[in-house]
Amino acid sequence: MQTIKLQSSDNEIFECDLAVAKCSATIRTMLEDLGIDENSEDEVVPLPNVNSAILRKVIQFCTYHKDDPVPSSTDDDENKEKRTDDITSWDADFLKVDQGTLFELILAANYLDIRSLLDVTCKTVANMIKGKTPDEIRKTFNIKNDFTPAEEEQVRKENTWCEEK
Amino acid sequence: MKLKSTFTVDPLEYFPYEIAEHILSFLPVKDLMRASLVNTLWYDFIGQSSNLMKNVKLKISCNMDRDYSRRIMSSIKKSTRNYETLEVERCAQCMDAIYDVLKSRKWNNIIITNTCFGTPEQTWLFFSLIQEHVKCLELSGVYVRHPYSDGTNKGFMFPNLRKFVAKNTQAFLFPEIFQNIRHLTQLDLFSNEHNVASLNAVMNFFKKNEKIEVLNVSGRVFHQILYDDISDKVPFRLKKLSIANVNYQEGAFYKRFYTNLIIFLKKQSSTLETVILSDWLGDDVLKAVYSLPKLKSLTIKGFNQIHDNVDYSDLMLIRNPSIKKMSIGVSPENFNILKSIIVATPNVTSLSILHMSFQFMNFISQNSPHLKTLSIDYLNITHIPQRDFFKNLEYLDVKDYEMCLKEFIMSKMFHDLTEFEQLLFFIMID
Repeated sequence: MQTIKLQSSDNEIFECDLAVAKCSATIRTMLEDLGIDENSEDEVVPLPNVNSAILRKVIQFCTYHKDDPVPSSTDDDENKEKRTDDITSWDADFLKVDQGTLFELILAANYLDIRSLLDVTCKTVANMIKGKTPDEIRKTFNIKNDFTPAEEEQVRKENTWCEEK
Repeated sequence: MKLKSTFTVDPLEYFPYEIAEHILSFLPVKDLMRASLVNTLWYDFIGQSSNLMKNVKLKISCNMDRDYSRRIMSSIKKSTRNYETLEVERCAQCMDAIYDVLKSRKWNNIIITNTCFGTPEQTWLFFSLIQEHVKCLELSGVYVRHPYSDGTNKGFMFPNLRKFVAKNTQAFLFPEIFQNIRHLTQLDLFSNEHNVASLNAVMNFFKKNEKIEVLNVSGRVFHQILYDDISDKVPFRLKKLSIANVNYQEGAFYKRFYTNLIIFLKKQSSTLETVILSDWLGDDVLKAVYSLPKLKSLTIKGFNQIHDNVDYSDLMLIRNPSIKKMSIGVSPENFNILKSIIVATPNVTSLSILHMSFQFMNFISQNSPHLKTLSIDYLNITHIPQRDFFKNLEYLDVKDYEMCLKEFIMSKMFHDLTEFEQLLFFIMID
């Protein structure tokens, strides 16, 4: 099987399957547009925005998901209901990490342009907000409340008039 | 960047805008609105994002304390949130406050429910305040006094209107609304009432409008529209057509309607992808629907309206390989019709059925080899016949089932169950 070398920001080199690396649209574009020779033994793709701990996780995710069908673009995303309860048990286990790692994974998924990883990590953060009171959300993310009591009451009232469209 | 495991940080400050918005886009409106109470940053972020606010509907219902309603409306007027969708319900009593809310934003979507516009001036003011920006206008149970009944001729323009819905609304409001909505792509008319003027306006609209793609009609309105010979003169090409509450009847008037409907369907055959027939319209209409080459999704209901004296055992439908999704509201007495439908739909992958008998199930299992998704409202069988039953099925949903079937399945060891029985097992223990 054909492999490729990826270099993390802290200069660690990872050798992985070409098919795995190509889960990343960014790497695909680099290989195609920048003329990096896929067959060359010494060619290394530098990824200056991803550290080795995160890159290891990303490769683990892509290795597991490399044979997943590509979601068809014909599905109209607009009308699709956004769900957060459809995370598979493997993904949920994979994402049992501390908040810092989760957030870094999101940045890496965004930089490497791996849609499935970006979606599942963002859903995981959404689940940290879902069903919580404002105060619980503040505690989860260490946020200070800067509303005056009057303003807060105003928003609370306004919210009672808001519904799902 | 090295982060400690105790690291906690506000995602709205940490992430670039698009990622933060993507995270919040997974939240239902209730959680989104609660999240705007976190602090002013969250309130502003959510309230200013059109991607997030497009799912939020502001619903003003004036059925309660009028002073309270007015106070709320004045606070909405001052609010910085970018609302796009407004529903007003029973609002005749506090119209003046509603006008202020209408003026405060560029409303894309307006829904008016159970409201009576008491005077021509009220009608005029309301619609003139929304006409410029509104993209989707939905009226349900609305009564208006005609805005021109005071003798002046004030026209309306709806330059951005794309979707117009009129449900149980007296006489489609006023005919003038149909004159200047050239960009309309969706029209829903659910009504049994009409007056001559508005019906003529709708028919003129049918003859001129080129952009309609989705048409949902019900009641006598569609009879009337198609009674006139416009079936093959309409310039638009539909993607979706839904017909409801058109009771199947014999007689010259209805015969002419069905003939015109078939001409209408032929005219739409190059584009029509979705057809919903909520009533039985006779075998000729069904045959015409099966001849649509682009049809992907078909819903047929109303089999209970079939006259007992008509025998459809020799119903021959043209095989339509393009239909992938089907929903049939058929009852066990209509086995002959079901057989014709299933045989004529060989490539169906998703099927929804109201009442599933043993006979139905066996037949579908043998004749729909590509079926992946099956939804059943009531499963009326007591056991499962053979091992390779529905062998390509990936998803099964059963809302209600015969209790004997549960006993049958539960009496077996799990590893003895067929794949189909396993799918059922998980539904039953849920």
